[in-house]
Amino acid sequence: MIEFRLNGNSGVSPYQQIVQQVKSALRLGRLRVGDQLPTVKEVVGKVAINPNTVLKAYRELEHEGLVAARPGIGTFVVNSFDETTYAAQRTLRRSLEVWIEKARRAGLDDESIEALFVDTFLFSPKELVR
Amino acid sequence: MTSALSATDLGKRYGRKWALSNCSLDIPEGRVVGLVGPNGAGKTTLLHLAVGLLSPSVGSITVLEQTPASSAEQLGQIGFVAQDTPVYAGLSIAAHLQMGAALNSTWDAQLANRRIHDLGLDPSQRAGRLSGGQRAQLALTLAIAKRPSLLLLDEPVASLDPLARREFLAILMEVVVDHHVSVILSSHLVADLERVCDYLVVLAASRVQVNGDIDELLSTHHRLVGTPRDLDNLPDTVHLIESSSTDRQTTVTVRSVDPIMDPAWSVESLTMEDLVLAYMSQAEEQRRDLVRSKGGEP
Amino acid sequence: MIRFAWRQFRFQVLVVTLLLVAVAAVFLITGPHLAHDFAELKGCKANGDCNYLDNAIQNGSNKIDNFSTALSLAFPALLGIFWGAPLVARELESGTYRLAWSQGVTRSRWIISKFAVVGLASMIAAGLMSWMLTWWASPIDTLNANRFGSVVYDTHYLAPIAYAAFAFGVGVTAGVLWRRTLPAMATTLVVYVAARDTFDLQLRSHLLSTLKVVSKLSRSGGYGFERTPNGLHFLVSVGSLPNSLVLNAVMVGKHGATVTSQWLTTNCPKLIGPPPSGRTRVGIGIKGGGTAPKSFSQCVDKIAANFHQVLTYQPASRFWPFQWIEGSIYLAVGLALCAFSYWWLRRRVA
Repeated sequence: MIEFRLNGNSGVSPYQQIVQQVKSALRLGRLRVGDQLPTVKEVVGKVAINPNTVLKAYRELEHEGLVAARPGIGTFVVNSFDETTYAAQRTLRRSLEVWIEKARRAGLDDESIEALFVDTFLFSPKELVR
Repeated sequence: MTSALSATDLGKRYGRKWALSNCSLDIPEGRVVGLVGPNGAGKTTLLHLAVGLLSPSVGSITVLEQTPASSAEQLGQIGFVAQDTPVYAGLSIAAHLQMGAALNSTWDAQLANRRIHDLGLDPSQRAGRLSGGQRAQLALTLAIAKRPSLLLLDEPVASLDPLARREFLAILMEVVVDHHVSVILSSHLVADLERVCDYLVVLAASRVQVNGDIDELLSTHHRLVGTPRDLDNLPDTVHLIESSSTDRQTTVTVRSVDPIMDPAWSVESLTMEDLVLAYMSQAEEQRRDLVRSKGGEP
Repeated sequence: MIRFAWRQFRFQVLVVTLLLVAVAAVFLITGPHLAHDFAELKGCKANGDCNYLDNAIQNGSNKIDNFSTALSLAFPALLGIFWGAPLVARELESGTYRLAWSQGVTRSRWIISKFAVVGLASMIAAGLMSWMLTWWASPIDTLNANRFGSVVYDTHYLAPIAYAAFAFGVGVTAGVLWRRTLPAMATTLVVYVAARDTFDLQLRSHLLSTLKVVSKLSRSGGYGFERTPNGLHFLVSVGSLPNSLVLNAVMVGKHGATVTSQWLTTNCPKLIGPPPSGRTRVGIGIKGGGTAPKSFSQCVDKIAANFHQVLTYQPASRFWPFQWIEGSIYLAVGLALCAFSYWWLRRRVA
């Protein structure tokens, strides 16, 4: 179970620190899909902060699609940044940057690049072609 | 939404000195309220008025929409932990719990016993032998076990060491989660309150200087830094709280609902401590001006 | 709240209970013996000289009598000081009132419960002490036959109960006003003693209008003469009406004349010489039954022939009415003080 540590001097608000620590734990694999986040009571019992702060953080994580609250049971991780996904995302981002530069050199303006991408994306197959 | 505490022009006078004056508040329930201010600002007076230990000199106060100490039922809805957590030194912890059971019709004996057990306290021990932190926990147990809707705590952690302080606040937050109580706690240290409170009341010079949801306060207060300039030119919607100048820059703390658009200022956000200090120094400045205008020395 | 008030009070009750038990033990051990001696004395008096029995009773019981009388006299005051004064003062001083008055009982109920429990306990304790002493000392009291005019009045029967109620009222009020225990205790002592003294000396004798009895000079009383810088004086001690409260004894002659210094100088010239050097007064006195110089007896005879003794007193039959009246006054004042404290605590809040 993840344990939160709050740094009062960091200039980052407590709820943001919680969000960041959850994300960081996801990236490092300390939290995996299906794990339960500590209950609000458990968090405030260890780190004396207002329960609404924790709720706010969990809501933001839920909004970002990383966790989901199951009423009466708890809050669970439903999505993850594990290392491989993150690495793959980095590579993909690099490829995309290269493509954009090529498109610019070919003389396309920003709107045309965006239109080309969206059009191709929408008409691409929805699943991996095997 | 019922109000946890509502005061209208509340004032309390001792002889010729006003311990609290012109206090108007409307604190909604369901909050953890921080009542902050320097010593002698009137925090204890306000809390004692809320519990019914004092009666107002002028104005009125209602707590949970009833007059304080008006009946046994009303007293049963309020849990109070006074400054320095008074307990009966000669009575054991168990005797204190018996007192709670005998004097409060809403007493939850199971809750009380479980808390004492979880805290690792020996019920047969005399309250006079407990450490400061343990006494605070006993006082909190006595306040909580009557299942109040509102908890009032007067500087509950002021005399505790940092570890006991953290433990007390943590347990208090657990209580908020479990029992959905509204909490009003006072302190002269902002650091104690910053993490646990979501509503703020700043008392200084025996008056309420500012009050409101902390998120809202922090979003409407800013620090502006710019070149030295005349501060009378600030727009009407921007209220000056505090200012300081060197020959190279002027720094002001302001309250403004609208965003600051003037490019001449660089806008920074404030921490709660900055906010409280700004209002407290404004109060101090006003107090000095008042004394000077009467011809005295501040 | 009553139960909790009792719980807070437990230790103090224990101390006083132990005291009462100790006193009871002493009385139980010595009482029957005393009663037996007294029965013997009664039988003896019919026949003649019983001085030795008389003395035996007095000597045997003297120390206990003195001690228990002193204790009984002080007892209501001690209850007021140790039970009454700290009752509220301690809570105010230590700050525990902030805990007590935020519990689910109204201020009113808190005050009334504490006052009732401790006030009644004070009256009961004083009543027990009085009852035990009255029982134990009855042989001595009957022998001395002076219950109206001595401390027997203050320490027996009903009076101590009322004194305890009064002392409680004083203690509680002092505590409520001072808000600190020690000054409250000291004030209670001072006020109680002053009130009892004043009442004793000035008021008690006048609770009902006094009676006078006129008689010849009673030779069994004590009397004497004194020469002071002011002249010669005839002194007669308040006499011997059993179980009555004698206030005054004066010699009154024809047309209201009294035994003045001039009269004595004229009629008893050889009575007293000038005082020895270094002293301003000299006297000569006799208690009934002793032998006297001739000049003394002659002078006394002359006085007896020319003057009557007028005794101002309250008769023995008024003993119980007085106990009731005085008791009611003290009880009423005690209650009034409690009512004031109640009002003060409720209005003038902390």
